Parts: sequence; structure tokens; C-alpha cells
Amino acid sequence: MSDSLFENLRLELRRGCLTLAVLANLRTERYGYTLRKALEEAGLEMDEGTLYPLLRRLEGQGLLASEWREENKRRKRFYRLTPDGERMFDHLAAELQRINASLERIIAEAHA
Amino acid sequence: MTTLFERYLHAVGEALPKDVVAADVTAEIADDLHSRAEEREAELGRELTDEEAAAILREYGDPRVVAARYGRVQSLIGPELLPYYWSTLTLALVVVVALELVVGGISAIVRADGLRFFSALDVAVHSLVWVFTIVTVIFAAAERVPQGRQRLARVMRWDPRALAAPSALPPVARSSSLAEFIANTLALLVLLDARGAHRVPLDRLVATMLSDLHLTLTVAWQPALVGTAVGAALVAIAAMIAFLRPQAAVVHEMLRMLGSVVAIVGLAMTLASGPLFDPGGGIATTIGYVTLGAAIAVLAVQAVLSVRALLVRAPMPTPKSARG
Repeated sequence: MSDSLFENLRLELRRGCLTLAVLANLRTERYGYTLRKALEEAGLEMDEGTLYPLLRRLEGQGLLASEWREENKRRKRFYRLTPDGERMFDHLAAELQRINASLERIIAEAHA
Repeated sequence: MTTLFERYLHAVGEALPKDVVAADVTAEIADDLHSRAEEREAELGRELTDEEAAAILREYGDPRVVAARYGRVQSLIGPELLPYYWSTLTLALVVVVALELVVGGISAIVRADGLRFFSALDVAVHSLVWVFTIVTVIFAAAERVPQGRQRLARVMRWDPRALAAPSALPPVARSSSLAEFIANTLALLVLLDARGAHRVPLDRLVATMLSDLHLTLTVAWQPALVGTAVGAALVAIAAMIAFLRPQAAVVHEMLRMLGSVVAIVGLAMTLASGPLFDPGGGIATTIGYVTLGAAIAVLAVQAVLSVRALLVRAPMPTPKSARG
């Protein structure tokens, strides 16, 4: 099995999950750097080249709201979920659980 | 360190797409970079050297790549339009080049100047570049204007009922279509020069042979020359299409059949129109008629084989579920 193929498929698998993880983490207000650290601690490393454009897209889609504020003598952009974002997160989380349940059944059958 | 970061942020800002507020993006990246640098400085208990700051930037990535991630469009032509792009490009290339070669061929025959065909080839090469550019620009633009993708997809709409039935013709092997293309193009070149331009050594050979026999060709040969030249051009075009699209076996076979028919008509007109040589009669005329007759017979067999291949169709696959 080629390592690069595994890496490609793994990235594909992670992509949607990362969006969900970001939404989950932004139920409390955070700025980019601390968000990345929080994800990393939870075991979901995400490089900033992916994270910041993703935040921007989610904001453009009305799921996130942002605000520039000063903290530690530097201006930082704080993000948090909008009410739309909360609803979307609930839907997506439920969907992920459904997918997980199906997958577990399918994988269990494959192993049987 | 500051100047290094500043230069980096400036480079990102320059490369950002126009619809993004650059200051907003770079301020956010700046905060991230400084937070990282501070974390690293806390670990080391001292300020970072230039080399250590550069390492942070290297990890962050090429400013152009970082900036490009903020773009709405991430590819020149996306996966939705790509199949339409390829089919449009191949069709446009084949049609334009074929038209130019046919026009060049006809003009070479009419003006009795074989070099005209070569200049048509030269024009055709330029057209390839133009067609490629124009088609690519149109599709790249559709990818970028609002609703462009949907509009172009509507133009290219397909109908399940209009899909062609699978043909019994297997795809044409590229080696055979390439050989066919080369052979017919060479034949075309020789034929185009055969009418007195005397640029191909073969013509001079024929002319010398005939003058040794004290014979000259009459105008009766003209339809045969035009017919076989156009026929060879059609088969060359068929071969070119089959080379680009081995699946297009039906189009290939149809054009080949048309090429045979055109050549047969030309040869038959020559056969019917009288003296082949000046002076007429004698063994040379007999050989001429026999050669023309043999060529017509070979081409007729070829045409019949083409028709037969086209008429035999594969049975449609009919899965039970699709019938209900």
C-alpha cells in the first residue's frame, strides 16, 4: 500500500470532519491561534493555510461572526458561531452520528 | 525578525485575490505568526534569530500558495466543466484543422501548386494554438463569472434518449490510425504535386518515363487526381479523429467510406472521359485503363467493408431492472 495514497485518502476523509470540529470549537469565542491550539490538543491538527481560509468561507456563509478586538497588546480577530451556525452545527453533528452508525455496521460486516 | 515577517505579509497581501480585503487577512496571519514566534521565544528564553524566524515562515508556506487558498476559484477549469472542455477542444481542433487542410488541398489542386498545401499546414499549426487559447479562455471565464458554470452546462445539455447505441466497432488502435494518417498524408502530398509542379522526385520519374515513351498525360486525369486527393484527405482526417478519440470508430469508418466513394467517382470520371495519353491508343492506354479499373475495384471492396462494419450493431444491453 503506498503511503502517499493513504495520505490522500486520509485528507479526503478528514476534510468534512475538520469543518465540524471548527464549528464545535467556536461555540465559545476564540481567535485563530487559540482555535488551532484547541484543535491540536483535541488531536485534530490543522494547518493554518487550511484553517484561516475555512474560517473566512464559513463567515461568508453566515455560519460564523467575527470581531476585531485588542488582546495582549495586539489586535486579534475573534470568531464565534452565529445562530445559523449553531443550527447548522446541530444538523451536521446529527448527520455525522448517523454516518458513523452506518459505517460501524458496514465495517463490522466487512470484518465478520 | 519584524522586517522578515513584514516582507512575508506584504507578499501575501500582493498575491491575494482582488475580492478579499488584504489588510484583514494579513492582520490575522500577522497575529498568528507573532503568537508562534512568542511561543518559541518563551521556550528558548531569548529572542529569535533571523534563521529561526525564517523557519517559522517556511513552515507557513509560499506566500503565493497561502494567498491562493483565499480565492473562490481554486482551479483553471474545475472538474464539473473539464469533460465539456476536453470534448469541445478536440472537436474544435479537428474541425478547424480539417477545414484548413481541405481548403489548402483544393487550392493546391486548382492552382496546380503543391506548395499551397504546405502553407495550409503552416496556417493549421497556428490555428491549433489559437483554438486552444480561445476554448481555454472561454471555459476558464465560465468557471469565474457568476452562474457561468451552470449556463455553460445548459448549453452542453444532454438527453438520455439522444445517446448513441453502442456500436459493434471496436476502438481504433492508435498505431493503426497513426499509420493511416501518415500514409494518406504522404499520398496526398504526392498527388497534389503530380499536376505539373514537379517538386516531388516521383513526378519527375513519371514525367521522364512518359517522355521516353513520347507520351504526355491528358486533362482526362484531372477528376482522378482531384477525387483521389480529396479521398486521401478525408481518410487522413478520419485517421486524425481516430487517433485523438479511438472510441470514435463509427465516425472514422464513415469518413473512410466517404473517402473511398469520392475517389471512386473521380477515377470513374477519368475512365469515362476519353484518351488518357497524348497520343492515345497503344499498350500505355491499356495499362492506364487496367490500373484505373483495378484501383476502382480495390476502393469498392474497401467501401463495402466499411458499410458492412457500420451496419452491424452490438445488441443493446437490457438489464431486467431497466425494462420496467
